[in-house]
Order: sequence, then structure tokens, then C-alpha cells
Amino acid sequence: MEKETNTLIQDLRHQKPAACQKLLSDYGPAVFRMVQRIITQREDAEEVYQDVFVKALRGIQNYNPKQASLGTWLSRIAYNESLNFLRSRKPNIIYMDDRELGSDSFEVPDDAPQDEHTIALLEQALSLLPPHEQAIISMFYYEEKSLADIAYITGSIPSTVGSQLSRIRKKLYRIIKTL
Amino acid sequence: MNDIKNDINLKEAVSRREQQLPPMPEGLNEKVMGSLEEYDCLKKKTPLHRGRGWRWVFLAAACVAGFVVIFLAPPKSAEKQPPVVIEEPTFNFQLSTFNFQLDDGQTPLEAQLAHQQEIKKKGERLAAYIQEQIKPEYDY
Repeated sequence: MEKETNTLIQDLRHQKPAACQKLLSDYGPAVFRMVQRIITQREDAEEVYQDVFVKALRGIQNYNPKQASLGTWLSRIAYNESLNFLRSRKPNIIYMDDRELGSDSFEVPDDAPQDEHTIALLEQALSLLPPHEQAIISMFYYEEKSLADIAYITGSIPSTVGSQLSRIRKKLYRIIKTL
Repeated sequence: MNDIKNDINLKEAVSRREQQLPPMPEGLNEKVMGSLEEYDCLKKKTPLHRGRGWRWVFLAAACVAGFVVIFLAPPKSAEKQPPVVIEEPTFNFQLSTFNFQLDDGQTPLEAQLAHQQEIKKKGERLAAYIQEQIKPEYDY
């Protein structure tokens, strides 16, 4: 697998079209998912998806496999490109701010049993988070990425990501209290 | 960190939300491939004779041919070459002279003036004739 990825990277560095097709088919769905978490408009997401691969192929010479896997590296580009796209547009959606939700000393229920009502409320609460927080939560809970990988993608450090996750989780439970 | 990771409700909520995301549109990757070629991110397929390797072969062959022509080809002797004949243009000038017939009692000056008048009249007649000939046949 590692050898196959190394061959793919080498071929991409030599700008081989077949390698690019393989990159798109193997990593495209994950990249598109990352973009869609942040950009909900389909046309915009497609545009950013395209930009991600243009940037990736232009920057493949500087990619260091020792720092992160190819998938994580692509996710980093997708995350940054998507947020840059949102910043370039005039924001028309207001997300839930921490300050509106009261004190940070809110206790989150630990090891609570699965509860359909709570799940439904959390689903609603997730849509009220800012896009970058939604992406972090999805990477941790859905893709089960490590804190190191999330830190690489978001340009942070693992301990900061841990604190962010804890804070976002508390925020979600505070939001569902208001729903 | 474990308590965060073990939050089964949040995990399930995130999972359900992710499953609601629409799938990647078909044909998007083909579109991306097209734009990657447009942005010169991919090597363009070139015919074999236009490839880099062949380019150098042609260049080397051209250099060798040039060297052979300049340094190794026997010089042509001047004796074998046919003499170059340069034809100089010749000009024949014919000088014309005007002879005026003097009428009785005419001085040469008067004869010359009368001749000029005659030429002038002929010229005017010729001009009138030309004017007549080039007159347009249609009326607006």
C-alpha cells in the first residue's frame, strides 16, 4: 500500500495524467466530503473541489510524506481552500457564538446512554456550529482522525485540537438546552 | 479525552449528518481533469517525434549535417564554373531635331512661336477628344 502510494506520488510529480485520475478516484470522495462540510452550496463546493486539486498538483513537489499521509495532506488543502472561499464571500449566515450560550462551566453528561431525542437535538445543534467547528467534529467523530492529523489539517497543535473538541462538545450540549 | 470519544450520542448525530451529505456528482472528476490540463498541471501527450528525446536527436543530426557541409564537403573549383556574363544595358538615344519651314517674311522666332501655337491647339483638341471618350455613359 505504502509502495503504491509512493509510486502514485512519484507519478504525480512527473505530471502523469493516469496518476491524476487515480488520485481523483481514490481521494476525490473524501476531499469532496471535506469541502461539503464547510461549503453547502453545490456549485461552490464543486468549484473549490477543483481548486483543491489544482493546488495539490502544483504543490506536490513540496509535499513531504513524513509529515502527513497523502489523504491528510489533501484534507489540509481542502479545509484551507474551503475556509478561504467562505472568507472571500460576504457572510450571510449567523452561527451560534459561545458568548450567547452563557458560562463555560456547563457540565456535559459523561457516558450517557444512547438516546434518540438527544441525537436528534445534537444533529440540529451541529448545523448551528461555524463551518470550521463542524469540520473538526466530523474529522474526530466520523473519520476518527487522530488529534495529530486534525492539528496538521487545521494548522494547529494536537493539545489545542483536544481543547477545541472539548469546548465544541460543551457548546453543542449548551445549544440543545436552548432548542 | 476518552469521555469525548465515548460520547455515543454525538458520534451517532455526526454520523447521521454525514450520511445526509449528497454524493459527489458524476462527471466531476472528468471536469477536474479537463481543468487540470488547462492549468498545465498535467503533461500534455505529444507525438513521438515531438518528444524531448527525439528533439535532441534531430538537433544532433542537424549539427552533424551542418559540420559536414561546412568543413568536409570538397570546395568547387572556380575553373569548372561557367563564366558569368554580365550584360550591360545599352542605351540608344535618338536625337530629334525640329525643322521649321519658314514662310515668306517669317523670322525663325515667329516660325517657332507659330509652331508652338499649332502644338498647343493640337493638344487642346486631343484633350477635348479624351474628355469626350471618358465621359460616363449613364446619367444620375
